Amino acid sequence: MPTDPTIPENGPINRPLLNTISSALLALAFLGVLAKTVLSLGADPPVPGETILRQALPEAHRFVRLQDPFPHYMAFDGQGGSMGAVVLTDDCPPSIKGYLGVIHMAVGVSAKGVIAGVVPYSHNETPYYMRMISNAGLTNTFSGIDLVETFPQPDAVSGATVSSMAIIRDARSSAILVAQSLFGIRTARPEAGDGRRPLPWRTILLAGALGLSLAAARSGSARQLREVSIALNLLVVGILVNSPLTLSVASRLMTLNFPGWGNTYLLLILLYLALSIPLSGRSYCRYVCPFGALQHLLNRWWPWKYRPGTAMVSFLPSFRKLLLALLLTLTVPMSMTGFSQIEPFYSLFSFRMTPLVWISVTVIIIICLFWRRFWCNAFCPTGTLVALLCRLLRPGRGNIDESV
Amino acid sequence: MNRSDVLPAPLSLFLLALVLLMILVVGWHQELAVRYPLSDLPTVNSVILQEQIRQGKVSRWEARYYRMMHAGSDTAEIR
Repeated sequence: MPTDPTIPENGPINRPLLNTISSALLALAFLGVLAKTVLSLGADPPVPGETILRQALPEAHRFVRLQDPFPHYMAFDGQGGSMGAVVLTDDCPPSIKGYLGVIHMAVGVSAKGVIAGVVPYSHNETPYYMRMISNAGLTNTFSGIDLVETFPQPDAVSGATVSSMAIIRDARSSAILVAQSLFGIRTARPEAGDGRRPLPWRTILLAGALGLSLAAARSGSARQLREVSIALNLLVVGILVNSPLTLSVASRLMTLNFPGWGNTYLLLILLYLALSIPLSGRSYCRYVCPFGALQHLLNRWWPWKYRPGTAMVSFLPSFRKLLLALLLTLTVPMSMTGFSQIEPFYSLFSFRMTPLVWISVTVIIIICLFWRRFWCNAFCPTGTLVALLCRLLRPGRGNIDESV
Repeated sequence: MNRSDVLPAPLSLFLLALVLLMILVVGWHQELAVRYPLSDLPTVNSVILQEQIRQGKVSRWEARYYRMMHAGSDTAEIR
């Protein structure tokens, strides 16, 4: 019984009812995601407007859509002569995937075999990375390349390597196809190399760190191994490869936008999840997530602790589910993808944030100093999704309400 | 059983509400950045932005918001 007679025995919140409501709202959000996914399955790829075609081939007077030998837009000058063509990379298989899914581009080539422009017009990439590519002017570097003489290899954009490599390869193969098939031009052999590939040693380090995490999760009592694994993942998954699982990635996976084979970091993380959830539950949250690792290490080192109390701890699982339901609904059915980018680790490890994001991340980290794994236990939508997966894949053992 | 077993501590509630508010503001801020990429808005005082405001693509409130939030940022084209 409460010692204070002024408060009710079960508190002001009916927790079982709140739990039921939050679970029901989360189920509704998943139904919304499913509906959006099903509706988008039969949808045709996006078609660019004439503005995009004009950006790809600015000197054209008009465009005519032709189907032979493959779909393309033939461009004509003011006198009605053919002066080039614009092709959509969707129409030139194989389409090379970016970070998550295909980047749709229009590639303009003149009849003399000179690339006039490369214009991405639709994609599922993380907007931040596409902004980096746009700011680096990658697509502008293609303009003026004479396919008869040479094909210099543009450098991938550091920090957005997977997306920029997809753009480089797709643009190159489409431009060569247009020049050879439509205008009979014998193109120069592309220069050696495919841009800057992810360095293999990073991939090896990531695989090693994930393997160590799995071993640490399986060996329940090896405390030192756990601490080493957590610190290593902060360095490798966070700072070195900057590829944590985020709500942005998870929501794209839920709508069936899968990574290409070039995205080795994300594929390794997904492989870890597939192996670890049946074997050791939420070990991703405990050992691999770099922001979880940061919170863990900071809280261990910080001498003053804050304990939120039983009432708050028992309220947090429902709160997390409500937040996930809200964010999923905004992100997928309502297409407000900005709301999938609210997690501190979305941008923290790139160290490129706007002042507003810096402020919010700093406040969250300060609270984490005192409150053990504050973000994981009170907010993390990705962690809640991992917990849901645990519940599905470990019947009777996975507990969504469990703290990390 | 003591009070903290039944009622969440005011400090916990305050921290929860503060961070919730912050992430919703960050989410809206990111959403604006997705809808109106900064590369489309070269400078706040430029003719281009004024034209976009006139066309209703960017509201004056959003333009002010962009200027405030991206001032000094290394990703900002808006000054």
